[in-house]
Amino acid sequence: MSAAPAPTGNGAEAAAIAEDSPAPRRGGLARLVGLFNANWTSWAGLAMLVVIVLMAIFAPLLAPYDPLDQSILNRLKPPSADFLMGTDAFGRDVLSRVLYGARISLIVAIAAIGLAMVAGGTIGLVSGYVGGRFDVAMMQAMDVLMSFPSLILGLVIVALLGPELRNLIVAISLTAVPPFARIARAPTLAVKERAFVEAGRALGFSHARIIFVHILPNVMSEVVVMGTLWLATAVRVEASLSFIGLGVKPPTPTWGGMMRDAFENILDAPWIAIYPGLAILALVFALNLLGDGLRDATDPKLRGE
Amino acid sequence: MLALILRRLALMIPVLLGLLVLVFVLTRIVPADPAAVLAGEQASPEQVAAIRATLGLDRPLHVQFVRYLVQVASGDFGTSLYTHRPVVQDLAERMPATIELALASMLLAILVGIPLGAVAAVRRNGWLDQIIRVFTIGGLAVASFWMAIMLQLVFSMQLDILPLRGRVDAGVPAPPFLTGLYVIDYLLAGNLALARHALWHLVLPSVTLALPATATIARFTRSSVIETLQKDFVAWERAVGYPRRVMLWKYVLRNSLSATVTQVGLLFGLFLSGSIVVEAVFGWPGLGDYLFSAITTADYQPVMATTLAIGVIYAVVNIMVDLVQARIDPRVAEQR
Repeated sequence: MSAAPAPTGNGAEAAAIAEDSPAPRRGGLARLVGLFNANWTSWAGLAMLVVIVLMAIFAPLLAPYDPLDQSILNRLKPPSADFLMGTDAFGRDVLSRVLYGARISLIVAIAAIGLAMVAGGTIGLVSGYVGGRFDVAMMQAMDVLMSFPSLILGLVIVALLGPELRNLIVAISLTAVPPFARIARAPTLAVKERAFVEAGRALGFSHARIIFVHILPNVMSEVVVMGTLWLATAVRVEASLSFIGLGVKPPTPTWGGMMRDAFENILDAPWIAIYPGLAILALVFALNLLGDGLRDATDPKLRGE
Repeated sequence: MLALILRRLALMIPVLLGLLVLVFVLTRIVPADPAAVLAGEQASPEQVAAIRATLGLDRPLHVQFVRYLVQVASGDFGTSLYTHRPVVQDLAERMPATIELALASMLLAILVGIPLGAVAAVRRNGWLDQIIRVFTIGGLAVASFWMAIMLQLVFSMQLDILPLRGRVDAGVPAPPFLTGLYVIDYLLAGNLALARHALWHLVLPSVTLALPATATIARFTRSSVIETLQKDFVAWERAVGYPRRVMLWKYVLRNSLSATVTQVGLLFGLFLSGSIVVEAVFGWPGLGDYLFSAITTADYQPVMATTLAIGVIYAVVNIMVDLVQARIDPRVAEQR
C-alpha cells in the first residue's frame, strides 16, 4: 500500500517530461543510475573513486609497513624499492601512511555530507512544503549560515570545540546544510502543487507521509548529484583543517596532517609533501568528475552536450 | 539604483546579526573557561571568580550578549594574547595585505578564466575544449596549500626566479601608506624598482589562490556562452554576416557574463578561506596568516574578530557584486 501512490507521482512527472514514452518511469534513484550513461566522465570518476575506496578498506593488506612504525635508521629516506614513496622525519613509510590516510578523508567526507544531506534535505522539504513565514525564517537562517565561507565556519567550530573526529564531522556538515536545504526546497515548491499531492491529502495521508514518501523521490536526484560535488569540498576542507592543525590528532595519518609535518623538511624531503597532495588531488578529481558528469546530465540546459 | 543599494544593505542586517549571534554562541561554548585561562594555572578559585566577574562572565547570557554587541559596536575586540596589542589594531594593519592578494588573484582569475571559458564554448567538444575541461576540473581538485608548496619548490628553490615568501624581502622599507596595497603605493611614491619587487612577491601566492577561481570562472563562462550562442540574435548576426570575432567578444560574451559575475562574489569567499593556508605558507602578513597563528596559539579573541571581519568583507563584496550585476544586466535591477 505504501509504495502504491509513488509511481502515480512519478508517472505524472514522466508524462510532463516525455509524453511519448510509453514505459512507466522508475523512482528517483533508478533514474539517477540511468543518468550515468549520459556522460562517460561519470564512469571515469566512479572508477577512480572505487579504486581509492578499495585502497582505504584494504589498507592493512596493501600497506607494506605499519603506518605508525617509527624507525630512526630510516629517517627522511627518498623513494626507493624499499620505500616506494620514501619515509618521513620519524622514519615512517609514506606510502603506508597515504593508504591509511584515505580512511580519515573518506570517513569524514561521507559522514559529514551524509549528515548534511539528511538535515539539509529535511529542512528544505519541510520548509518548502509548509511555506509561509516558517519558510521565510528558515531560508533567512540558511542565508546567515551561508554568509560564512565554508572553510572559515568549519575552522571556527573545530577551533573552539577541539580537533576530534566527531567535531570535524559536525563542523563540515554544518557548512554543507544550507545548500542541501536550498536544493531540496526548490523542487518541493513545484511538486507540492501537483495533483498527486492533493490526492494524497484527500486520502487523509499525514503530512510526514506526503513529504517523505511522495515528494522526496522527486527531489532525490538533485540532492544526490549535489552530494557528490560536496563530498569533494568536504575532502578539501578536511585536508585544509588538518593542514592548519585542526584535524584528527597525530599520529593518526591524514593527508593534510602529513603535509603539515612535511613542511619542516620541505627542502630535504619534498616527497613527504608531494604524495599526500597527489592523493588529495586524485580523490577530489574523481568526485568532481563523477558529480560534474551527473550534473550535466540532470541539467536540461546543458543536456545534449 | 539607490533603492537597490538600500534594500541590499537592509538585507545585510539580519545576516550580520546572525553572524554576531553565531560568533557569540561559539565563544560561550568553548570547553575551556576563558576566565581560568586568563588567570593562569596557579590561580585560586577566588581569583578565577574575580576575573569572571570583571569580564561579566557571571551574568545571564542575554546580558552578556548585549555587552558583547556594545563592545563590537565600539570597535573593541579585546587584546591578542600573542601580540599583546588590541585585536582591532592588528586587523587594520593586516587587512590591506589580504585585500591586495585577493584583488590580484581576482584579476588573474578573470583575465584567464573568461577567455578560457569562451574558447571552450566556441570549440565545444573539440580537443581544446577537452583539455580545458581537464584543466578546470583539475584546478578545482588541487589543495591550495599543496599547490603553494609545489610552486615554492619549483620556482623559488629549484629555479630561483621568484621570491619564496613575504610581501617584500626582509629589510625593504614599506611604502608610505596610501592605499595599503604595496605595488600601488610604491608606484605612487614613484619607486618603480620596489613596485616591481612587490609585484614579484605577489606572483606565487596570487597564482595559487587564483587557480580554483580561474577554473570556476572558466566553467561558468563556458556554459553560459554555450547557452547564449543558441539564442536567436546570434543566428541573426551570423546571417547578417557580422565578423565572428566581434560577435563573440562583443555581443555574446556580454550577454553571458551575468552568471559569471555572481560567481565572482562567491569566489571572494574562496579567496578569504584560501588565504588562511596560502598566507601561512607564503608568510604573507594578512588576515589569513593572523588567523592561522591565532589558532595555533589558541588565541581566541583574534579568532573571533577575524572571523567576524571575514564575514563582513564577504557580505560587502557580495552586495557590490549585486550592484555590478545590475549595471551589466538591467533586468536584474528591475527584478529586485
